[in-house]
Parts: sequence; C-alpha cells; structure tokens
Amino acid sequence: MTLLRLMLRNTIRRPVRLALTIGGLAMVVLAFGLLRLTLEEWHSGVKAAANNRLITVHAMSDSLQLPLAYKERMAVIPGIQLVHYGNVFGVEYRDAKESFAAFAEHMGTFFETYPEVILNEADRLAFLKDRGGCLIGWKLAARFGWKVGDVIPLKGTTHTGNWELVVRGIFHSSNPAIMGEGELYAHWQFANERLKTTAPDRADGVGWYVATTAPGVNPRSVVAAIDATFANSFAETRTEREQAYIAGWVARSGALLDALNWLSGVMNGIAALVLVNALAMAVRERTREYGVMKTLGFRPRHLVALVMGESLLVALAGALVGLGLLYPAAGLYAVTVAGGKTVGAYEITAETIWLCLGMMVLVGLLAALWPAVRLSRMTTLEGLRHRG
Amino acid sequence: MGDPVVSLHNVTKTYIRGGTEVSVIRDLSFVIPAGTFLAIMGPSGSGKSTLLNVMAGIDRPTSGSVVVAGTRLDQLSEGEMARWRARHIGYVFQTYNLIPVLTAAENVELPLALTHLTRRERAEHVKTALRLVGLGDRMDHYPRQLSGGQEQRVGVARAIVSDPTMILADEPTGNLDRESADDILTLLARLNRELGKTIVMVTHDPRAAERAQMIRHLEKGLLEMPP
Repeated sequence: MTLLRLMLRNTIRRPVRLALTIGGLAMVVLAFGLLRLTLEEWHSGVKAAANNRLITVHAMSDSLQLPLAYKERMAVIPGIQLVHYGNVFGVEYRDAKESFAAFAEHMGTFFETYPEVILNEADRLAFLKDRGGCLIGWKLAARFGWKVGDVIPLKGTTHTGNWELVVRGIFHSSNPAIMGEGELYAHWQFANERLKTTAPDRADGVGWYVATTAPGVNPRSVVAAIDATFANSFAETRTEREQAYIAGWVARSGALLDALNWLSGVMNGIAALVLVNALAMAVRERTREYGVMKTLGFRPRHLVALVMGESLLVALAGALVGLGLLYPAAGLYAVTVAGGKTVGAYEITAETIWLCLGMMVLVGLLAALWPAVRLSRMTTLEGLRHRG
Repeated sequence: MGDPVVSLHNVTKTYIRGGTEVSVIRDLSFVIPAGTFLAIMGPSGSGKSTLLNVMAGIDRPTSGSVVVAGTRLDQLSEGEMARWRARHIGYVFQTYNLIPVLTAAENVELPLALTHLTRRERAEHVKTALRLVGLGDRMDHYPRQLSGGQEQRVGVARAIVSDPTMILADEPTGNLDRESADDILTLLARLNRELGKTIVMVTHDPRAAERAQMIRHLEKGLLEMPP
C-alpha cells in the first residue's frame, strides 16, 4: 500500500507537467480516435450494404457511361425485380469549397430501390411532381440553412451551366452509410434534358444501374446473367453486389488506407515520446530518492514497478480524457466537417474504445522501458550521489 | 560488549579518477563488537563515508573481506545485498533524504513495505518508532512542514522501524543547528544504551564524536586511534 501511495503521489507531484502530458496524450488519442472513426466510416458502407441490390457500371471504368437502353434489357433478366439508374450530378454551391455529393436519379424507381430514405408523404409527392425539384439530406440542409421551398442556385461542374433547384423535401436516412444525409438528389430526366443542349454527347447516358433482385433469388446468378447479356457489346458491364462494389471502392483507396494506418503508428510514436519525455524528467529528478529506497533495501523490480505504474496511470488518464473528448468531437466532426460530404454519422464503437485504451497501455509500457532500464542498472551509490 | 557485528579484514577501496588510481581506504582491518556506539572521525576526503558505505553494502571493497551481521558482503549480488540491507541496516543520512510526497509516518513505514507485516502491525511499528524519537504528534506532517531537526528524527525513526542489527549514520548532525544536533545525538545514545543498538556514526565534529563510546580516526584511508 505504501508503494501504491508513493506511485500515486509521484504521479501528481508536478501538476502542471502532469496536466500538459495528459493533455498531449489526450490530443493524440483524440486524433487517433477520429482517424479510426474515419476508417470505420469507410468500411461501414460495406457492412451496411443491402443484399438484394446489384450495381452495374461500365466494365472499363466507373466514370464511363452506359446506354439508357440497357434498362429494358436488364428488366427482363430472370430474378430482377426492379431496375433503377442514376448519374453523378456535378454541381457546387457558391464555390468549390461548398461542394457536396449530388446525384441525378430516375425518380420513378428511386424510393422503391432505396427504402432507406425517410421522407414524409407530402414532400415525396411534391418532389415527384416537380422535375426541377430536389431532395436534400438534413445535414446538408443544416450546413447551408436550406429549407423546403428554397430555390438553390448551383453552379455546374460536370453538368455545365447554372442550375436552380427547388428544395421539395428534407430527408433522413435509416442507413446513413449507404444513403448519406449530406447529399442532394435531383431528377435524372431534368438533368438529362439540359445535357441534351449543353453536352449532347453525354445525354441519355447512365452512370450506374441498380438492379433489385426478387426475394429468394440468388444474387450471384443474376450478376452473371447481367454481364453475360452485355458481353461483346460496345459497352460491356461489370456487375457486383452492392457490398462488393463498395468494398472495391474502399480497396481502390488502398494507398490512402495504408497511409492512414501508418499515421496511426506515427501517433503511437508521438504519444510514446510525449510520455517518455515527461517520465524521464520525473525519474531524473527523483534519482536520489530511488537511491535512498535502494539503501533501505528496495530492489530494482520495486523501482521498475513504481515507474511502470506511474507511466500506465498517466497513459490511461490521457486515454480517458481523449475518449471523453472524442464523443463531442465526433459529433461535431460529423456535422461540421463531414456534414455535407458523403460521410455519414460517426459512431464510437467498442472496438475504437478498446483500440484507444490498448494503444495507450502499449505507449505506457514502452515509455517506461527506458527509465526502468536506467533505474535497474543504477547502483545505490550512483543514486545517492545524483545531483538533480 | 558482545560478539563482533562488523569484521573488516585487509579492506582496500580504490577509485580511478582522471586515469589515476586513488586509494580511499588502505588495507583496513578492524572489528566492531555488538552494542558499540562508534564514531569515525576524519577530515573531508579521508574515506569515512566510503567506509560506512562498504559496511552498509552500498559500496564494494576493491579487495579484502567485509563481514557484517554474520554475512560476507563482498560476495553478495546487488539483489542479495538489498535484501540483506533491508534486514540488518538502518541508515541515517546527513541530508535526511525523506521522500517529500510522503508524510512522516509514511516515510517511516517505507522500509516495512519490504516485510510481511500486516497493515495494523506496520502502523504499530511506525507509531512506536515516531514516539521513540519524540514525533508522535507529527505523524501526518510532510517533510516540508517539519524543521531540520524533526526531519532528521524522522530519518532516525525510519532507520530503526524495522529493528535492524545496526544503525549507520553518515554525518547525522552535519546539517543541524547545535540544539537539534544535541537532540539527535542524545537520541542515538539512547538507542544504543536502552535498546542495545550497534551504531556507527561518521562525523567530523569532535563534539558529536564525544557522545560515542568509541572514537576512531580515519586519515588518508588508514584508521588510527585518537592521541
């Protein structure tokens, strides 16, 4: 008990240094936590994908268009219940910094294909009736202060020219990982009509088809059937289940994922250095006291336990403060940073919490290693003669 | 006087300083009988503290044998030496060396953390030791709340709390005013007289040395009887 008391008192001996160290570690945990949340968010789409939705894109590249005529040919493939299609709607608000994900979708099949969209019936009907209208997620509405009935002036990027869309509904999503609440949806027909005059070569093009399979049908067989239908045509297709399609996107960002994982490692290093510095200073200041303890009969393992305990205590305090900050920060991040983008709600999972705690335990042990080795090698006399 | 507690035989201690070999203790042989209060005097650099450290197992002789409390110290490992020290040696430092974040009672309790005593037994030992040095009413004070004399008395209580075979005191009054120094010397004399503790005290103060039963002078690493 005396040793435990001594460890606790040593830990709080320099309150300012302790607060700065814990603060530094908390910032690292916060950054690490947000990074993990970003990675989890990327992967959440894979987990949340619907089993009965198949995505069909151009076999050569996602950015190439497929003919609109494929819709009828896909609809007759056995096992397909519904065929939906859409395009990226390349627009931004006032400038590039105020861009967001926007899509032009065929509204005749949109709500049936994406039951995730939560919208009241009046707004749904108003949107379906108005081809110049749009639906926006509540986060996008919050980001720019838009409300139902507002006319939004938009500048085209891939869809050149100026656009004015009327907000006909603000939706929520039952599955933000798939149907983001920071997105805008417009009528494909409306966007396509403008393309016929501004960029006729791109008119009647479809960025992707979404085929919903009938209940009881094995989606794998339908996947093969779709691609076989368009084999050897001028625009061959690549069809995947929604889950595989999103996983492919994530995998194609492999370099970025690797970089983020490396960044996690760097953060561990930074945290360890912050703690090593504080701990080394503390141990150096107390070297004489450790010499006295050795004179009293304490062995190296007692001193190592004191230092290890102190290091772990500070590291865990940093982890707890960091995790405490992560909750409001994740909420804030989801609304302000990711609100208008394709990123959905940020949820702190048990895995993230355990990873943060695990990381700090590792940091605590690593940070104590050098001071502990120094102490165990120090002779009693060296300790007593130390001038701090 | 009882059987020898300390027995040094041809002990030499040399250091290498700036490439030159410096002899601090030269071929020293003597015994200290149990129950003795011995003062070792000598000028600075005469090797007094080194001799004390060799007897405490804090420093090792370059050659010769050191037997304290029946154990040959020069053959023990660091770990064995620490265990032996916890059992047999109570050490009083010139600069008190109390742990500033622990109270007087907790400082005194520190050596007992190495024993198998229960919490209650430890508390009893601490209370007894602090009462013995006259600080029964200062148990919960931190070192910064005590005077130099009181701090040294806590140091003495810490040295005796585990009932060691021998108390070694390195200039215990060196940092104290005359009155506090007298108090500490009286206390050490009492521990020797009433509890039969063997005490070896290093000092360069003749008035302090007078309180011991036996005085030895160390000059240039050689032990001499006083004139």
